[in-house]
Amino acid sequence: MNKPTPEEEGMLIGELARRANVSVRTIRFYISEGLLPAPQIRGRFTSYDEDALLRLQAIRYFKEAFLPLREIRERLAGLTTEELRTLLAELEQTATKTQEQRSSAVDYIDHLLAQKPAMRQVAEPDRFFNAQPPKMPTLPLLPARPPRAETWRHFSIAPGIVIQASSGLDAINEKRLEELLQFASRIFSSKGVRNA
Amino acid sequence: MPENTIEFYVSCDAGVIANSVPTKRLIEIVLRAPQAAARTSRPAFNLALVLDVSGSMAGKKLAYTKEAAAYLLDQLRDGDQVALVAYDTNVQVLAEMQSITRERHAALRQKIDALRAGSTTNLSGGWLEGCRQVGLVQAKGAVNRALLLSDGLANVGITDREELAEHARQLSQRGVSTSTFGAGSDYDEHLLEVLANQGDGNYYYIDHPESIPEIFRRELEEIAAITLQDVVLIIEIPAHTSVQLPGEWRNQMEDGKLKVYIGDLASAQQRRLYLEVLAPPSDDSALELHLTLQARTPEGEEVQQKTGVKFEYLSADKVGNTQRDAGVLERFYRVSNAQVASEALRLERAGRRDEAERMLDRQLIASAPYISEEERAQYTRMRERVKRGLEQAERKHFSQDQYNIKRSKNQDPDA
Repeated sequence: MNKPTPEEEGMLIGELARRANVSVRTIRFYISEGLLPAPQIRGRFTSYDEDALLRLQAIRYFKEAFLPLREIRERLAGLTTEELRTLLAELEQTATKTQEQRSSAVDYIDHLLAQKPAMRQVAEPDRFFNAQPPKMPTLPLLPARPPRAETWRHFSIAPGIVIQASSGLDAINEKRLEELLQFASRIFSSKGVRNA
Repeated sequence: MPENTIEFYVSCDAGVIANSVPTKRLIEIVLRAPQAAARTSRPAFNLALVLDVSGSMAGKKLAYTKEAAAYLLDQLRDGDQVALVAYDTNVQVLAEMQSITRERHAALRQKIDALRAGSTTNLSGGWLEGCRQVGLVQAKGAVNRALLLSDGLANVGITDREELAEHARQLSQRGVSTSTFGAGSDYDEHLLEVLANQGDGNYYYIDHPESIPEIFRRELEEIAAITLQDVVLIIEIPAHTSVQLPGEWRNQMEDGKLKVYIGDLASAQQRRLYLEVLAPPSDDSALELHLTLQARTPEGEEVQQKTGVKFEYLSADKVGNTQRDAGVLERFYRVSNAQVASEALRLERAGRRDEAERMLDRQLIASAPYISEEERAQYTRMRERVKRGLEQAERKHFSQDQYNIKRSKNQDPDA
């Protein structure tokens, strides 16, 4: 039996993790936080392309530059694969420079404090004076719903065919979705389901 | 096995994997530091004591913190060095890193006694200053650590949890570790835990101010009894195989090797880690994983041990009929449940109760066949509580429990 390699098929999550030097858990976390687009479903497996790898590499540089996740998300949103390549080249250049500047713990902290001089300064007292966090009223009947974006997953089944699902499905619907995706990819794939 | 050697062994839920479909397997890794001989020597301490003196520390908390700081001073010996940092809105270096003489001891005591509670909580500023003081004198073989006490939310300086965790990771990589002490119920338990996890140190929840000195004593006793330092576990991951490691250990993937940083281990201290492996189908006869343990003794001796796991490829039918080791499954799910519960608690804290509840629910269903009645009941109760929203102190207790399980801190020795 001639099984296609993961390279031909796109990368499985383990392969992507290995190539980006991050854990599988981290990849799932980034997807759930909207930093990475949801993977393609191929047969029984999800697969990732070069775009995902570039994004992971860029995230790593941004994290090393101490950017919070939400800012990383904004910077990466809407970039094409080509734009990602350009961005990475720039990031690589600046990273080499800064890496040399912080080889020891003391260098690292000095570098950080130089970047964030506000760290040692006095905050505006009227805004921050109350050290106790404000007591939030508890309303047992109303579940707390802070405003936030809902995360949706896109599964490209075939060119021009996309299935969308919310990230917040319950276990039963998650299982149904999985079956639906398998079924759908079987219909649209002329080669049938693959076992990778 | 003689007591003064390292224990390092692995076992798995079953030794076979399927040749036609991917197979999920569990590997349990046990490591135990050598027992210290009755000895008078211990590693030198290069410690920075970083104390929160924000307004909310006023009263009992500050009084007991002073007592703890005085206790720490009393434990120092020749060759140790200490720095004192206090922070509220501003960061004050009360004492630069220095070795302790009798006169200096008295002078430091006075500075501690004179501490007064001030305004806001510049946790990052205080902590980084403490780490910087340690970094100035850090030495191989010594315990180079910042001890960070806080009772409130970081609200000045860097306050982003993710970002602070990254700094902790970078600093422990550079040889400066961090242990954290959360006092009372108003601090962010997830921030202090992640700083300790990424900082190769310990995290403590102190529910009553009276316990502050006792908890500092525990930390000092532990670091005095260290017999193995900078413990790193290196796992070679075969091609097309993916692994997951619950427990929030500092780790790094490099050239197909997963490096897991365990930090320092005290005499006879044990850590259990679990790997969830997704093995690829293959025509080969077996799949092997190689594991290496690297560490150093306080005397400077480099230690390396190797072990491995071999999975035999069989038909999917045979693999499906194989008995799995119930003990490994139960212990794995204990850690995996704690990991998921921690994540659910983070969501609950952020007001995302529905998601937290669903997350716990899914995990309960998945783990139900393998865990004890009692554990099932505990997590069911947590799910019910999470649905309604937790009290601050409850959050701390729940998270501390999960932390202890994830990092194998409260195991009965024959588990």
